[in-house]
Order: sequence, then C-alpha cells, then structure tokens
Amino acid sequence: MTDRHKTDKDAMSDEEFIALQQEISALYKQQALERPSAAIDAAILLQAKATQASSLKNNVNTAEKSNLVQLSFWKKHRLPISSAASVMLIASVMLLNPEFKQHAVSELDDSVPVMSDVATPVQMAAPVQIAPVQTAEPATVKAPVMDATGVTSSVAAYMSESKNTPMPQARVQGFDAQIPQTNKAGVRGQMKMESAEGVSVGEALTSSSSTEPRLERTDIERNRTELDRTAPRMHVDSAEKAVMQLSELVESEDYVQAERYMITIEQRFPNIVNPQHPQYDAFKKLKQQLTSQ
Amino acid sequence: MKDLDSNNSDSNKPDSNKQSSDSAMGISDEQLMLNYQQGDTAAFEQLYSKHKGPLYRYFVRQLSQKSLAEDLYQDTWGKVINAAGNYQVTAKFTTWLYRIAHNLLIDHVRAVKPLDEAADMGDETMDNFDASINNEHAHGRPDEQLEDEQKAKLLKSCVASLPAVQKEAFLLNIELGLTAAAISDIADVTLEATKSRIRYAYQSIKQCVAAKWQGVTHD
Repeated sequence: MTDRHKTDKDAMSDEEFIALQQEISALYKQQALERPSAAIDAAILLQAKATQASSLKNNVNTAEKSNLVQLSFWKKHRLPISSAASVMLIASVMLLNPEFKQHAVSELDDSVPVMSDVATPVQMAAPVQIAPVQTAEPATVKAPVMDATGVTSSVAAYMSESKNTPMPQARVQGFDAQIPQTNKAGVRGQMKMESAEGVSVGEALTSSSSTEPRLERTDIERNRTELDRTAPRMHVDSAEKAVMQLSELVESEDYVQAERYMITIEQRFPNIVNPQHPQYDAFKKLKQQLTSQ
Repeated sequence: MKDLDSNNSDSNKPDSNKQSSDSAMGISDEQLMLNYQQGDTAAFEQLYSKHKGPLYRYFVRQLSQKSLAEDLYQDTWGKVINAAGNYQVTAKFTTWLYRIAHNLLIDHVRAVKPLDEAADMGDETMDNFDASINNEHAHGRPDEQLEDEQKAKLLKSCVASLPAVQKEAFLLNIELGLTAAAISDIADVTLEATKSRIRYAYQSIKQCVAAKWQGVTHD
C-alpha cells in the first residue's frame, strides 16, 4: 500500500492536491466537532484565575520585600546605644582614675567663684622667722593635744625627758629674738612648746599650710587663746626662772595668777615636787604661802 | 511541495477565519497571553475559547480513550497556566501550545503504547461505523445531505485509521490550518517528512472514504 501511495503521490500534481484538500476539508467540517464539556471548561478557567491570583499575591509580597530595607538592631537604635556607650565610658574613666577625679574637683573648685582672700592678706603674711630645724628631731609634725589645763601632754612628756638634757638657752633666746615684738608675747609660749616638741611652728606651718594655710593659722590662734584663758603664759623655760616668776607674782599679791602659774609649773616641771629638785624648797614655800592665802 | 505551504495557508479556512477574528479584535494570541500574564483573566478566557475545540479534538481523535484525552487536554492547559508567569514571545502561541500537547502525548501514550496500535481500534470503530451506515441505508434515506453526512462519518473512521504520525500532521493541518513548517516545529521532524505525511494522510483518507462508500453503495 505504501508503494501505491508513492505512485499516487508522484502522479498527483499540486492542483490535484489542493482540490483533494478542499474536498476532504469540506467533508471534515460536515461531521460533528467534539468540544470539551462545560465542567472541563469551568475547571480550567477556575485554575487559571486561582493561579493568577496567587501569582499576583506573590509578586506583591516580593515587591514589598524588595522595597523594604532590613535594618539591623545596631543601626535601628544607633543613637541611644552610642549615647549609653559614651556615658559608660566617661563614668568608668572617672571612677577608675582617681587623678582624673582630683583634677575634675580642682577644676570645679576653680570654676566656682569664691570670696577673695585679698582682704585678709595678713593671714598669709605672718612673718614668722623660723630657726633651723634640729636634724636629730623627727620631721613629722604632731598636733599638740591639749589637756584640761591647756598644756599639751607632749610638752609635759618632753619636760620629763628634758631634765637631763636641758634646752640650750641660747637657742630659745635666739628664737625669741626673731619673733616680732608685736606677736612676741602671745606667741612665745606656744613657740617654746613647739620648739620643745622638736618641731618649729614655722616648719609646722610650712609643712601643712600649702593647701590650708588659713585654717592652720586659725588653729594656732585658737590654741593660743585657750592657753591665755586657762593659765598664765610661761615665759621661762627653766624651773628656776619659773619659781622666780612665781615668787614675783606672790610678792605682788596677784594670788589668782600666781596660783594658776603654780599649777602650770607643776605640770610643766613635774619633778619640782621631788625633794631632790633644786627648786623644790622654794616652790614648796611659795605653794604653802599661796595655799594659806 | 513549495505550493503545499502556500496552498495550506491560503486554502485553510479555520486559520484564515482565526486571523480575521484576531485582526478584528486587534489582539493576537501572544498579546492575550501577555495580558493574562499581567493578571487579565478575561484575556485567558478569550484565548481558551479560541483554542479549546481544536486542541480537544487533537487529543480525542488521536486517543481511543476519551478520559485519557480529557486528562491530557487539562494537563496541557494546566501547563499553559503555570508557564504564563515566565511566558515570552519567542514563537507563535499556537506552535507553543501544540508543542506542549505533542510532548504530553508522547510522554503519556507513545512511551507506553505506540499509537500505531490505535489504528487497529480504528478498524473496530470502522466496523461499527459500517454497521451503522448499513442500518441507515437499509432504512432508506438516499438524499445528498444524508450522503454527505455518511461520507463525513466515513471520513472520521478513515482519519482514525491513519498512522499516528500522519494523523497528527493531518489534524494539525485541517483543524488549525498550520503549514508544514509549523507542524514540523511541533512534531520536531524535518519539513520534507512533514509534507510527505500530510500528502499521504490526505490521499489515504480519500481512498479510504471512496472504498468505504463504494462498499456501502454495493450493499
């Protein structure tokens, strides 16, 4: 049959083939043409609509995602985080570095306006000439502890020690000569006590007055005032002179001052109550004279 | 053969009708597909209504099982719908559509059961058709319209008896008016082979119809 088809094909011209096509096509269109059922049509159209809706939704979501710029946590809160970090850094430096704290305080003090001290230049200009410091004595400054009688315990202790090593008189006199006459009477007793302690007042002032000179000087003046109120000032540094001073007070019948001065002598020269003390008899006589009054 | 392409395009009424309708509406199949890609479902409905008949018959007349033909028909449109998002105009929509249908036909039918075996079933239908023709002829309705209808039924049985490759080429040509070149693109065969298949298909149908009609008139 194939061979026959080949011969027919070879024998058929194009015009004959066109006529054959038209004839077959006419017959083909006369037959009933199958079509898909309505159910199939509905299913396919529904699938088309559903797929298109889902694809459009996906496209919208994709577009929204592509338009959104994802910010990280650090970028989103960069301002609060940077501020907190700065505060933490500064606080840590101030807490861990004491020098920074001191500088900060000093700068803060400088920035605060204070009343000028120019009005009281005398406080800083107290002309106290200081004798050379004894090298054998300790350089540390001990604040004098005042007892009820106004005499420092350190002075009393020194006096007890100094019975064998009396203070050179020349040093005391030279020290007194350097004090101005205006302040000589008031400062002398304290200066002598300070010198007996082994540290001069000037050294004490210079050692501690670098930051608070005004306060130090105020303390000294206050101590001096208290000494004036409680007991007569001790102008002498030896028991002999003290007894002579006491006898002068008794002779002048200034018994109140004499009694106070007597107590001062007892505290300053505790060995004077010792019968072996050279001034024992004279002091005892004056004491009996005062107690009899 | 040169005339075959030109004659096919000129003498094919469905294709000319389709082209006239496209020009009348001003929207080509490719543009309708692009519109559907942009979300216009009405464009798809229009496209579907235009191609549903020929595509349905493409499957039904090549397969003996109607259910299988309908399944493949729906699968074809499903692939079109799913591929709409990535659709690009690289060829005519008709060529693209029937290439999908051809591949489905190859995958689901020919790989399992060669369509040539369906010719045997065509013979069975031919026997039934002959019986019905004989019955109608026995009832005595010898007018021309009845003769054309009878020849059309003979034609249908003759088409079913064609070899699978000739049947596919014949259906694509007579249903859609596709040229030999377009059919060769769809079936992935050479142009000359496609032209030969078309010619053999027409001649075989003519001879088949003539032979069957002669047998009917003799009876």
